[in-house]
Amino acid sequence: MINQDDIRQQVVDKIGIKSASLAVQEAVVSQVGENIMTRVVTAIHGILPEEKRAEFETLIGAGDVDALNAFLKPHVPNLDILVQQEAEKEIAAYKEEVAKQST
Amino acid sequence: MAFQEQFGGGGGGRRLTSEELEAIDVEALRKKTKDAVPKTPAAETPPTPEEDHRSILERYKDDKAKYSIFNASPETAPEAPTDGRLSPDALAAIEVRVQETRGKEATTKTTDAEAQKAASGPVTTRNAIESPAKGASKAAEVKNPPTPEKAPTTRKAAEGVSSEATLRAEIAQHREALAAIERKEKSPDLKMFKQPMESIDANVAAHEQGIRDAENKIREIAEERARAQEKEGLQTKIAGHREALAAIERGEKSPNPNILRQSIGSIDAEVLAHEQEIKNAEQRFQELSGTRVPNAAVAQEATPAQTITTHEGEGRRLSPEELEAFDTGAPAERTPGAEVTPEAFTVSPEDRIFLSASQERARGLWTEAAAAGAESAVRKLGAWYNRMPIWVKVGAGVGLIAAGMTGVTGPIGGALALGMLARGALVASGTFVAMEAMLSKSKAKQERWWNKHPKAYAAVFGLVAGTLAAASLFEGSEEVTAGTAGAAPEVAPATMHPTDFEPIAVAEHTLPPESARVVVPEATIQAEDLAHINELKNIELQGDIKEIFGHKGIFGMNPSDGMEKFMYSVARMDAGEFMQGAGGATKMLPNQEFLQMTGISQYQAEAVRNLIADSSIEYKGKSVHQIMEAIAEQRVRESLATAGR
Repeated sequence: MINQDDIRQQVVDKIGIKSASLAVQEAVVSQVGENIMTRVVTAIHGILPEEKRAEFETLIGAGDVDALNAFLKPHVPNLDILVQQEAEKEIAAYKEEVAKQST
Repeated sequence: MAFQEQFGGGGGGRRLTSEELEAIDVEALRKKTKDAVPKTPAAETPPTPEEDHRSILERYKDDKAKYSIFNASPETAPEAPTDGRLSPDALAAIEVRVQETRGKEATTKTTDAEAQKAASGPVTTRNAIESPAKGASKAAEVKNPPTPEKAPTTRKAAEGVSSEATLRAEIAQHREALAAIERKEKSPDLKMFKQPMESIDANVAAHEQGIRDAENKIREIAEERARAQEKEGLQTKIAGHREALAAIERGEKSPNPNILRQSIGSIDAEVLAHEQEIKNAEQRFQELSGTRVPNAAVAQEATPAQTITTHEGEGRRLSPEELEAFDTGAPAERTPGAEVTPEAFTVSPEDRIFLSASQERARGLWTEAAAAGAESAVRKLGAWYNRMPIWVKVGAGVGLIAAGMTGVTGPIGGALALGMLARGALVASGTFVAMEAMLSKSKAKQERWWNKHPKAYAAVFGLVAGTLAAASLFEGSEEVTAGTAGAAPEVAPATMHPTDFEPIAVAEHTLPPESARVVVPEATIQAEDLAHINELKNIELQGDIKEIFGHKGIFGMNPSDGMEKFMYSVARMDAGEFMQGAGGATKMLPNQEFLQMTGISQYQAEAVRNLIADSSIEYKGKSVHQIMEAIAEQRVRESLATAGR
């Protein structure tokens, strides 16, 4: 069995903040997670037909996961892949920003 | 020699009594001395009574050579006054001694009046060895103590404080008095010679006792000073260890820069080591002072985080408020990237870059979203996201980042995103509800690490546990509306047993067998359970987990069975284990209600069902905890394999 902390370590390693303090790791992970979600929302917003966007906003935070799922399914058939792609992009962008600020 | 013939004994012989001293036939001694000793010019001169007296005292000196007072080390022996007068310190010491000994006079056992004076301290001795005029003068000094201006130490004496310097001065006076006896200062004539030897002995003994007393007091002062210094050091040490503990708990940089990358075990070890050091120091402190550690004093040096500490000698435990730190207030307006500022941390330049980069990205994405017309949607997303406690956000962040790591979380990323979009960062509420319940349990068991690092726990265990539970629920919910009318289960619940369930075969990507669908005997659906379900529906899921799972007898579970068993039952629902043993009836559990209660979507449940199907996890007979670990391990291994590591 692996240590349950290993996934966190994997994530921290993935975005290149292994050397940071735990507090900073948490702050960065939280912020990067939010950034990914921002990307996902922006991407979904771009995918949705214009007339559906208002409804999408209504469903955000409404608490009805199934309704949101039903709403998105026709337009975003594979949310998993979308999230994965946006996550990959944001991770890369973040690391690029770190490299940029480090120079 | 003549003297020895007349009275016997040598240098180490007995003392002469006053009667013997008076009976000395000086003339006979002189005559014998002339006969026995070759005549020298000096010997021809008859010795004066004073010279005879000297010879006796020389022997006396030899006898006294064994006394410690005469063997005092040069380092401790104060300089003898050169002018015969006492220094101010010495005078002050004398007065201290006088005041101290006045109270002891009643217990003084010496019978000789002179000895009594000697026993009362240097002043009386000094009076005895000096001329009557001088003695009277000194006595007058004692009766009229020096003014505070002239003798500051007297003021201390009046306050009952005998400083080390005062005591040393007192010793010096005793030694001076003894030296005076040796020098025969007080016997310019035969009066002194005729003083009884017992009186001289008593006088000397009194001085020696005074010296010993003073030396003991000096030793006590030194020991007290050492104790005070050790106590001060212990307080500093305790404060240091507490600060180190607080730093660990805050997750800030610890004295060990690598601690954050250490294993849980080593973190625990370090915490325990600090706590043990604190305990040891506190014990020693109490031994030294006979009192408890002045927490107030230590608290002044403590950090704010330490003030949360509720268990003395133990690591800090998260309070229920911290564990349940859900902000249920109104949504806040989102300000991207403004939540955490680099200045809020005491960070290294590298850490500052890490933080700054993440916030710079947030600002960039906000600009992009605004340009794409998604500003309103993003703002709404952030409104509740920013209200989430940090550990929830970190958990969500880990899940989302892991979604970008091929093979780590698979479908969980989508489920997570969907849950976040719909419900906030609580994701599927059940995920974090379950996690928090686990944390509560961990807290009850005083498992240190989980209490101190709930974020990692949320990110990994809670994430998977909740969605796994969702999968199980989903399986049941398929049958909810079907009821059982005319559709008898393929396997009667009463005959089901955990060992009957076949584990999922990964290669075939099979789903749990139909026969494993939950069939809850009608008889077991108690009105009380239904009432609980309806009640739970009205409970805010972001609230108190104990309120949700603390209902007695819910679903036939005894709350004392613990959350793990509950989760296990949920996870094994598709195996017919849930509500097992009720037997006979065919009415289905209203799993849709259950789904609503836990806030888990069918989408998420389906995602986890796929996760299970994709895994080769043998979860037969395993606890939910073990299943979670197994899945996590498998995913990480796949991730590592994908990354070619």
